[in-house]
Amino acid sequence: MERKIGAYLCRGCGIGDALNMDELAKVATKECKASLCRIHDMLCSDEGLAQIKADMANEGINALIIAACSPRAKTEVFSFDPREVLLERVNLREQVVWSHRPEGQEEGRVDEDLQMMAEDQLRMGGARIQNMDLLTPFMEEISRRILVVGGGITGMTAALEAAKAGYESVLVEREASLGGFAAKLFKQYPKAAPYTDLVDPEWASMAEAVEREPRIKLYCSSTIERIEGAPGMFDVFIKRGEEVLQERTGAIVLATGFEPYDPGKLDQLGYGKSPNIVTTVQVEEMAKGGALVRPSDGKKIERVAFILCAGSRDPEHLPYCSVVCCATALKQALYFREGNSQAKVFILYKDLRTPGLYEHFYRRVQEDEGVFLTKAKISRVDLDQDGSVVVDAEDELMGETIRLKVDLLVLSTGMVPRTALGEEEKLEVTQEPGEKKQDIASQLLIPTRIIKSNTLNLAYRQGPELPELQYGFPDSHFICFPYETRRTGIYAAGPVRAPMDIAFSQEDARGAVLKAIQCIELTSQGKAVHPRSGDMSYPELFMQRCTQCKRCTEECPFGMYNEDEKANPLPNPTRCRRCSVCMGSCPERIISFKDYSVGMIGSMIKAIEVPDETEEKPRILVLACENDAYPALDMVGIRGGKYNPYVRIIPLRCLGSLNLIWIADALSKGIDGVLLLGCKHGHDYQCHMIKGSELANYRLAKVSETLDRLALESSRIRIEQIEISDYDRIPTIMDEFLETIKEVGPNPYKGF
Amino acid sequence: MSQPRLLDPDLDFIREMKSHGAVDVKKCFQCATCSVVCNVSPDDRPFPRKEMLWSQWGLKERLLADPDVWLCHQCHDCTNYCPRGARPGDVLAALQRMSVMRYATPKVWARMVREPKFLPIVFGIPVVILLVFMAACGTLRIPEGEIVYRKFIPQWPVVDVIFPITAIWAVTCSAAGIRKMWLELKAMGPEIRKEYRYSPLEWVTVYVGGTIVDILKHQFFKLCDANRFRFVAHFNILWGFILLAITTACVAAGVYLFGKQTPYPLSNPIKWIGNLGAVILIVGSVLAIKNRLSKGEKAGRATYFEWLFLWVVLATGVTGLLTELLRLANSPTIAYPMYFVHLVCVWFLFAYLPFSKFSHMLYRTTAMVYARWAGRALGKGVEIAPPAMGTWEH
Repeated sequence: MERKIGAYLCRGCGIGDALNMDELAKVATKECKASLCRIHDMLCSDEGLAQIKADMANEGINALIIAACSPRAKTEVFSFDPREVLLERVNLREQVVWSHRPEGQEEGRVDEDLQMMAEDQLRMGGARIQNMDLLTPFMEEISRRILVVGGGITGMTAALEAAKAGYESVLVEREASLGGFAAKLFKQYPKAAPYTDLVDPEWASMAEAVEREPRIKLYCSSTIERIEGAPGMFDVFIKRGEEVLQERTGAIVLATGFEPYDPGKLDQLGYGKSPNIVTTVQVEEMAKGGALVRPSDGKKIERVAFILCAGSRDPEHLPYCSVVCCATALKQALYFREGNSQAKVFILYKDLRTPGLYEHFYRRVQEDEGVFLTKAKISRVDLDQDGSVVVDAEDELMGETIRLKVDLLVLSTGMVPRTALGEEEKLEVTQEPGEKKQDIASQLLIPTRIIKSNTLNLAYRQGPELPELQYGFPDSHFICFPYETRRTGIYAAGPVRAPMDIAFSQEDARGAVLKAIQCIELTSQGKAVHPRSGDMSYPELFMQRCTQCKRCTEECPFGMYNEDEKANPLPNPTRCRRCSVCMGSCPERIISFKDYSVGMIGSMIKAIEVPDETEEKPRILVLACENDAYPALDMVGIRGGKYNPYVRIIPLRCLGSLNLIWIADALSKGIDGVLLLGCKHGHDYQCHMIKGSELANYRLAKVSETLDRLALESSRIRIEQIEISDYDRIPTIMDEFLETIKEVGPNPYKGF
Repeated sequence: MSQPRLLDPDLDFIREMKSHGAVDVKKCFQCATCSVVCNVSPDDRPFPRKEMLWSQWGLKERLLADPDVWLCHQCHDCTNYCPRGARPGDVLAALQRMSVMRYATPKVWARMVREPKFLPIVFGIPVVILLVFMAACGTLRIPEGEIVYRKFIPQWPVVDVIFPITAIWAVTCSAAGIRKMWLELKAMGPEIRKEYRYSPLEWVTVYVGGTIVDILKHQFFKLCDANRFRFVAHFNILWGFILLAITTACVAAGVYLFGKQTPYPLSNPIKWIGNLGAVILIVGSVLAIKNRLSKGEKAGRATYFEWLFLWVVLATGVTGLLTELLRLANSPTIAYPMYFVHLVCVWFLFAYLPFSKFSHMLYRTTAMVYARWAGRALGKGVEIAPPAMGTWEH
């Protein structure tokens, strides 16, 4: 492409007061090769924007360097089609002027270090725009239908909501009829004010609506044999009896629900000792069958005890809380109380949890004179000769050991996601040629475990199901983005995502189906869905130089690559989240984006001017993650924080795109230190790309080879974990690192 | 781990509690705010939290044997701080009402002061008795001449026969009630430390004497926050009664030992004490009634049981004072009936003492003595002298 660069320098927001704009203009024209450079008082005004547009029309400008505020600000003003115009925004406001406000400096005098910082940032912008190309989005013929797996409350809600929004769906249910677990319920606890009365199950009317809805194609008694393809073009092979039917859909909602925890494992609570020890699931069945009597002899039930957290919040069983058991026990207490005014219902809890407004339901049941609640540790469950069950418990409210003799003991068991049932997939791990066997995945803290639960049967290189986050839930730790799994276009909802009840599942289904629609719509425009929503770039591979090392196919957090039989990576761009982890993983550096590549960042680093050792002006390269660290850096400026002007900041899509060559480039150029700012990693990770920051950390462990080769100190490289809210820590981090660099001394490669 | 105790809630007891005013007892979620804000509750096994739990679970036996129910002075600090609206003060009030009923001998008298339908009988009895005695003496008319109440209702054989007999009745019934309570507490309540079994003399000085001093000083009442005002009211009522009792004793002694008949001249110190007592009693009961009316539920939900007693106390004071004033004003047509009404009120206080709200005097005192005897500290930071030596033994 023939690029004609226009550089626009903004004087507004204090930039013009702190910097020598004419000097900057010289840098733009001479070094950034801008054929046109304009200095404006307020570039984001209508007038400023009109000037840019006029230059594009009259002067043929097709590449813009806008040196003004942060690229995170005024995005709606400086919005140009990336298919037609190259755009680079140099952050002079937040990260240069605002975060280096000089103290007690006389008016009109420009700080030399600050001016140098601004000029370097401009040079880097120039380098970037020269290495950028116009985007050509990846477009295919796509399907706008949604596959919904599971016909319970969540699945039915998802399909019905999709239909309401005008989208067709394919609903696959394992059982012969719809309803899922909810179809087993006698009554539901209330989900709306005043939260006092039990309500009839709602699944049946939903099932009718699903069957009536022409936009829903229903497959009952069916399972998914295989899913091939990628968002926009999933080919779903549905097995119904002997026949296998094929459907094409654009996105998937996973709503396979849960299984109750196996009470057979709860023998310490007496399960199996007597038919009078049952689970809450059995109570629903008994109530539904109209036989709420003692199972052993059909006697009327006078006393019943519930043990909550039976196998839940217990490291030996389910370590987590299943949310619904408390309210379910309260509900079932009413089954017994409504049937017999003399019945006594004991509820023994670890903690009684009725989140949100369910508190009102708890109060209502608590006020029933025949319901007795206490916090207790069960010490023994035994049988009496007359068939009743004797429960001994350390009552933590009364401070004594109590004994209850009951006709029926009910264990409130928790929820196990369907995706947790099955064997673990053993991923084949490759050996890099000439290297010791390295299993990167197993060295990372973030699990990449895939359980073969026979749910989706994805034809993906990285395994047939969704990777679990914890306890078999295929969630993804995107705090702000529920439903997102680690596979683009597949959204988990309902109890398979996290334990939840009917009302929450319905809400979850709505959210997930909206995400599925968003995925379809953005994919149809060749845009990324999440978290770089709207990004039209995608990775391109220079296959002639591929060594089939498989690192891209293994390290991609989202299973974007498939593999052919010769181990060549086969990209599926619509699965891609544009995180560029593959770019960082590739030892041959053959993976790049049109607007982001190893060479581009390298040339930006090379554009930094490194003064002589004698000038005592150290230089620190900061590679900052765009998702959290970069906005945090902006916030330092916005909040009036201050740090040294020797840093030069380059945003990275994700620290996972880190290529060690950049560090080698920086150090051999004479830059004194490199600071990497990435997201928190590990178990409670904040990385938007799941494991990007952790991969960077892992790769950095190997940087010692580079340092040894250059005979440099390891303290010149530092990696820090930054959350967006950590902006107050940044000045300290920056300045402490500067102190370290000063102690180590200048980089001996300066001037080479 | 202690030996497990079989629990079986008594649903009827819970319903009974609710009918006695503990309607919100099930709302408690055991946060213990009540015990924390209570300034009267001991640090060790404080009330009312455990009473709330036992009440929710209908553990009748424990509650009946629990002296703490009566250690509560009904200030309602707990009720006002309860985040759940469970009204612990009302729950304890209900338990107190229930235990009055339980210890009452005969029970029908207890019912009479708690159900409004018995009101005509409650007052009918003294009216009839007085009228019958007066008819027998031939004094059933407003006497002529200077107002001398003996001419209307003769000291002998009317006042000095009816009232001593009524007093004997009250003492007998009270003793029966206290005995019943003490035995139940001993049988089921907190165990008693051997070290505290002092000699009979010490028993009287340390336990009973100490308790009485506490009561006279209102040691615990003063600690209450939410209804501090009630301390003033109650303190006045108590001292009003004490002064009036002293007056009555002096007058009786005057008549029978020194042959000195009433009325005494206004210069007589006994007259001063009596008038002061009447004023204090009136002030106290007006304050108590005003407090309950103006503070509404914050002062605890009063029932007929409380209201009946309070109004009779006020009526006793007012009619007593008016009896004197009307005599001085020389208006016999009102003065004589006023004296009659006054005697009816006084009779009420005596005859229903172990059955009406007045009985809290008996049972709270008993509970406080028991708590001292059981080595249970009363009030936060208020310590009873620890045993001189030796170890704890149950």
